[in-house]
Amino acid sequence: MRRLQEGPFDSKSEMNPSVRKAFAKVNRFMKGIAPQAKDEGVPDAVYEVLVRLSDEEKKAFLKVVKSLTLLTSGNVELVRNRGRGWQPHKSGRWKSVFSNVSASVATLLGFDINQKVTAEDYKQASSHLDQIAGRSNIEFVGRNEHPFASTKPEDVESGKRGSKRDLARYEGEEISTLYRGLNSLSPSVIEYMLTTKNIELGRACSSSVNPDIAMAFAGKDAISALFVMKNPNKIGLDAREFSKFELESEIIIKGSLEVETIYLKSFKRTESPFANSVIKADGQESIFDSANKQKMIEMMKLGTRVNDYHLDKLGHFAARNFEKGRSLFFVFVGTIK
Amino acid sequence: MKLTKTQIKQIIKEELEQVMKEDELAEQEALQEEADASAKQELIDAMSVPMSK
Repeated sequence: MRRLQEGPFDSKSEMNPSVRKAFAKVNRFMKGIAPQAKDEGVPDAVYEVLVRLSDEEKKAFLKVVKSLTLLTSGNVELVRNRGRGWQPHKSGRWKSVFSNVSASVATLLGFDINQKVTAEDYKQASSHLDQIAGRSNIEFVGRNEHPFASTKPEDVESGKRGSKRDLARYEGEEISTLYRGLNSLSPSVIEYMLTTKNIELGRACSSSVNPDIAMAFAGKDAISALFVMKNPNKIGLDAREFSKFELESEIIIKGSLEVETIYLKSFKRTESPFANSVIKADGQESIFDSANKQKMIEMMKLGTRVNDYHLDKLGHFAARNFEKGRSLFFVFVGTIK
Repeated sequence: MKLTKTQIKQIIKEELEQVMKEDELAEQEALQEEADASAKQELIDAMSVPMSK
């Protein structure tokens, strides 16, 4: 049953503990390195981590890097359609889609980055992401796990204060909440999101640890939405250092969002997503029982940007935080399951 | 039990109305399900687009 669920790539591409740890280490040791230094290849610490992998683990590591590259900087349609629609004359070479870090890592792992990206690569990326993005593949790396650390790796709980502090920071800030912005949404999609209590995130969804990135993306056009997703089980794949768009701080996730609270407000890029909301609803309440969810649907039917109809319907006092002309903005707060 | 012609007519009318109402409801439910599935797919497609694009 397990084999059937996980598909034919499982034995070779699953992130076993060594691969997962190596992936986390590369992410950790690349952090803070200047872009110019990254252009020159991987640092010694990363080299040490990668050369210690077995041949099978190297293949699995390379597969992870290739899969996340195709999702973050390749053709998303082809990943979504498992390679269907691929055209040979439009296909680029791996070196054109890889980030500098990914290209250096792939070369180090013995991959020729001058090869063309094939339909099979997209098919494998799709299946592979399907398997790994929904699992807990994000791991903490302590300062003592650095290959050139003066002290040996230890149990963090009984270890030094520095490691404990690192773990606390990692647990509390770094990836415990993920953000996803959405723009140009149709009213039917918002209605679906308001009706369901668990929103499906799809096969592999790109999210960010940086709320500003998600807000900027959400604000492109009405109707805008933002998912604020608590991630206690560290589900996902950390693409932060491997993505070509490093500033996006991307984490690739799969699963569903159990919605706790929904806010409706007018979109303002620089404002906190929770400030000045006009209507607040309980995400787990049925659409038939929730007057506020019904009100949100009514608002949407009056236009995708705040106008006089919205103000009249809500009453000018209740709608005093609604700014005319701005996009309707829905904020969904919940937990990734 | 004897039924008058008017009673028979009334029974047939009520039965027909009931069947038509059920058909209409089933059709509405099917349409709603279709709309939900299409909205869900639209959302999943939107979610797979990286925020860098």
